Amino acid sequence: MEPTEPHKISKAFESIDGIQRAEASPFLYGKIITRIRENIPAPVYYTGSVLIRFAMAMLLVAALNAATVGILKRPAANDDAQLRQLAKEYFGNEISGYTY
Amino acid sequence: MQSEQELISNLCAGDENAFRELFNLYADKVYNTALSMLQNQQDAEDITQEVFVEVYRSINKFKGESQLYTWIYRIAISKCTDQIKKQKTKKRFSFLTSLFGDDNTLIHDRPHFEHPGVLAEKKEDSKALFHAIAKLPEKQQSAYTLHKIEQLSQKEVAEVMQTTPSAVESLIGRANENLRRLLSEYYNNTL
Repeated sequence: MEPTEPHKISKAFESIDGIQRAEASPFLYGKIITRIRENIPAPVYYTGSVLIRFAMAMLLVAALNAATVGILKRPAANDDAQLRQLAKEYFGNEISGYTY
Repeated sequence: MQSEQELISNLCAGDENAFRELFNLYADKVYNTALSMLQNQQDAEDITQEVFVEVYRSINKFKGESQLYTWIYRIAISKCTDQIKKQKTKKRFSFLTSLFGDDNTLIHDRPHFEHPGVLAEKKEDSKALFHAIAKLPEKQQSAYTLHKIEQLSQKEVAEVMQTTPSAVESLIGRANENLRRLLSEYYNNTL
């Protein structure tokens, strides 16, 4: 007969009763001493490709920012000149700069 | 065998024999804790190395306010939780990059872990339990591992986790509830 779910859950909980401690590798001490003597830093978990991607993303953000600033600055002067030209054509002479 | 105070003094003086004795006393405890939390032998070895390197480098900062073993367990738990966070971040990141269709492959869940200290006839049941333990929130996982697998008392776990025994009791109670739910989901999905 297939055991019931509560029975399986209890068996899972009981599976670690009397668990023995896992033993570290006998070579571990040597590795630690080597690391201490050579002053090897902790391993870096980020791979080169991740760093390159991050740098590229940052460059892209910087380029987009520069482009946005450029676009926002440029039309301001042109718009002013175009408005003056339009006003001149419409009113027939240069306007005084007052807003009506 | 040196007393704990002698051991600490000799370690502070840079005595390699003292470090060897410290390693013999605590290596298996640190390794077993790391193995139970990370559920991977290579990661557990790496973390054990990091713990002992940190102990060697910062023994001068040990003020003796707690026992040496609680301090070492604390370093081990802290490094394991950091490693688990890094693994989760890496997994999320690999999922995002895999969406863009390049050669970054998606990091899948590891196969179910078999603790080498579990009796042969209980291995299958323990796989389900370790699978569920890995899904517990950080503090519940630490408390449960230290109490049930490393067999520290609730008072000792409280000292390692710098909290009160009643808080540990509550953490273990919630861990048991969550494990029951996770195991139920596991058996419903796999059978």
